[in-house]
Amino acid sequence: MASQTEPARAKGRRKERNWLWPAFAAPGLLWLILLFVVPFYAILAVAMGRIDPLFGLAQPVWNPLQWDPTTFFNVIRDLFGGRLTALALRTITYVAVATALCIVIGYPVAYFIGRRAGRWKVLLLVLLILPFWINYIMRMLAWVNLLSTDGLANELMVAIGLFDAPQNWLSGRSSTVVLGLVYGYIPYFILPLYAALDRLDEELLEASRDLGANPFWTFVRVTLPLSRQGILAGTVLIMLPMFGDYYTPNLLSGSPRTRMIGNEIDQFISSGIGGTEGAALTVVLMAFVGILMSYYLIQVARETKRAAK
Amino acid sequence: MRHPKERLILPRELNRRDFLRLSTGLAGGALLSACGGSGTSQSSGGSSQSGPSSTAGGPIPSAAEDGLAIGSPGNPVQQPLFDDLPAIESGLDPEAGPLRIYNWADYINVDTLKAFRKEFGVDYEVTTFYNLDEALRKLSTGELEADVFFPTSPVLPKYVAGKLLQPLNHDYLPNLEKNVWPELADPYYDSGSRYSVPYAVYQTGLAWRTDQVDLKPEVMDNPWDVFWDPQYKGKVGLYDDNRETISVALFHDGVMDPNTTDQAALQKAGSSLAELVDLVNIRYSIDGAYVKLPEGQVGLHHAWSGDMVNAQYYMPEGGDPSVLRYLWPPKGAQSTSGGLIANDCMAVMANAQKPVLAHMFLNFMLDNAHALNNFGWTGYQPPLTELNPESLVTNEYVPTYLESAIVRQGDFQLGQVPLQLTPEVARMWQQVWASAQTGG
Repeated sequence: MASQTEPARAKGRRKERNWLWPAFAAPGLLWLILLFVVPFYAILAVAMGRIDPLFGLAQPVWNPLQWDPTTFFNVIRDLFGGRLTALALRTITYVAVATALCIVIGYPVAYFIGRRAGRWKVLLLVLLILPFWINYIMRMLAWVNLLSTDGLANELMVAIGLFDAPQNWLSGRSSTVVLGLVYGYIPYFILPLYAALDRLDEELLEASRDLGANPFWTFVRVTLPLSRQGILAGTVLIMLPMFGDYYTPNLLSGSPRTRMIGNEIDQFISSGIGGTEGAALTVVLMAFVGILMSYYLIQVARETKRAAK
Repeated sequence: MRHPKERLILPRELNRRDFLRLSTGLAGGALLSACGGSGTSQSSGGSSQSGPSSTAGGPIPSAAEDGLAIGSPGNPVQQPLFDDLPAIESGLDPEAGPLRIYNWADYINVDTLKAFRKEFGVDYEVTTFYNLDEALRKLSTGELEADVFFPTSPVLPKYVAGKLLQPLNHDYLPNLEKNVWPELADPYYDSGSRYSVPYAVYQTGLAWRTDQVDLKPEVMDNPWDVFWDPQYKGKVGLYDDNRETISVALFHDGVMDPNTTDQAALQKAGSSLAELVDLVNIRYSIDGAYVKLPEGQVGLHHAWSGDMVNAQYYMPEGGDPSVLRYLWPPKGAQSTSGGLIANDCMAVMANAQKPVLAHMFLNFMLDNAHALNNFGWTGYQPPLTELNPESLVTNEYVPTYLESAIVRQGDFQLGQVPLQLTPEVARMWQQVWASAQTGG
């Protein structure tokens, strides 16, 4: 008898768990539906929608059966072998270079704060978060002043003899835009990486050294692989917003030479008449970013599974 | 067309007082592609027209065929009246406040509003919009209700056809006849001022710094060609606005109509703009004239007259504002096509809850003293006879070296007015603009 009731009770408990734990996800799910799924559907409805003949405003069409995908296909055609190809490639290049620079610059910083800063750790973390107290646009505007021909950056570089004459940094240079992106997003890269490095198990490093690896190989064989998740998380966190960025090239350049996809969307959306194109381009960009995101999620899932073993 | 006020807004009062230097102007703004128009216009017959009809396929219809009454200085039109939308009766007492004002951000002097509150003993509420598309969306869907609204003259026909505005009763508006330039007291876009009174006038011309570029556009055959002159490479900027900037390219190409529906002309204009990338390393922004020029980031810029009135206050500390110059190339001089000129209006919403008070507000804003007080803060000039260039310069509202930035009576005959474009044509302009910026 007892042997029969015992599994039954366990089964009941498991059933209870089955609805209880997912229930905790409900608020998050609701949040996601309200703030992501619904707005995304609205964008899709505009992308597939029409233009009001009197007022000339883009109008969403909510019924998918009445959707008109012409604009959407035009945008895709422009992106692959059309007008927008160069723009898309430029955007990808900027984001890739900026992300690579963030990794090269951000990793040592995160490593130092996480593993070597000692009692300075809190102070350094505060300093890292400090820029967030000021709006991104304000910080970019500060750079505009710093980088202008009579700005501090130029004065300093001419004074120490780096350049003979002031450089016109803001005249549509790719390098300025990429460095602007790096500056703007690097804290978002460092923070998750710091978290990963900070909770790294000291004993694993000691084991590595005990087994004869020098600091370099310990780093390459142990620290780096263990911080992979942190690098990936930081990369995703900065890449996604970078793809949609338009104010950095706007403020630091303003030249068609440094235009990014975000600028194109901004221009379409803000021009009433181009709302449909803008929405279509947004959908395409989101799909692309979605691919990157799923790669990240798959990696995390794989890692979690490995850790569970 | 983007509106001159369409830019990131600063606490300008502070700037004026402290000469505080702040750079702004995200092009996060919008292109009012909705404005502008076809060259066709309705005759000024007195008959009222029917409401809007939807656009059919086939050849590109002019905006007028769309049921919009679109006038030009040579061909003024009356806006249609509707039986179910009468003007208010004469002799009514103003309602109790608050008066709800829907306006561009930072486009009215708070002191002027306070004076209105004092005089009429009513409160006011100002809601602001960033661009006309936003305003149109909110007003046409009923998302927002207001008593007084500030449309530009090109978009007015659309608002009338959409029955968003109510006709005005001129018994409440004695200042319209008394103070306003005759050409705008009975304007081409709204003959008899049925729905609107003018608020501010502005032109688009060229601005430059004498210390950076040696320029005498007034002796050039076509002053608009300066943007294609390689000797100014790296120093040149244009507005990030499709109507304004494509018009510059059209004028450069010798096309005289800034409301063209000619696809070939537009495409040529697009390639002319694309040339600028390599030729002069062109930069687009919306704050170029009033921020980048005084700061010296550019030496030559496409400029709204109102921006130039304000530009002196954005001069960095120690800078000399008297290096700034402005020229509005008038039509017909040499071989030029002239520059754009337009104005903003004030109107009463069809569903206004305080229509009488709204009329009184319009009249109040057309009073010479109040209008001058307002101009002193906004920098955008009210078209009132008494506020002529001489008085504005003498009273130091505008410096002598920028006297050319003052719009004069009669300028509407010398310039080109942007008219409403149909959605089809606006889309063509938009595509040319997008191509010009991606080099495709």
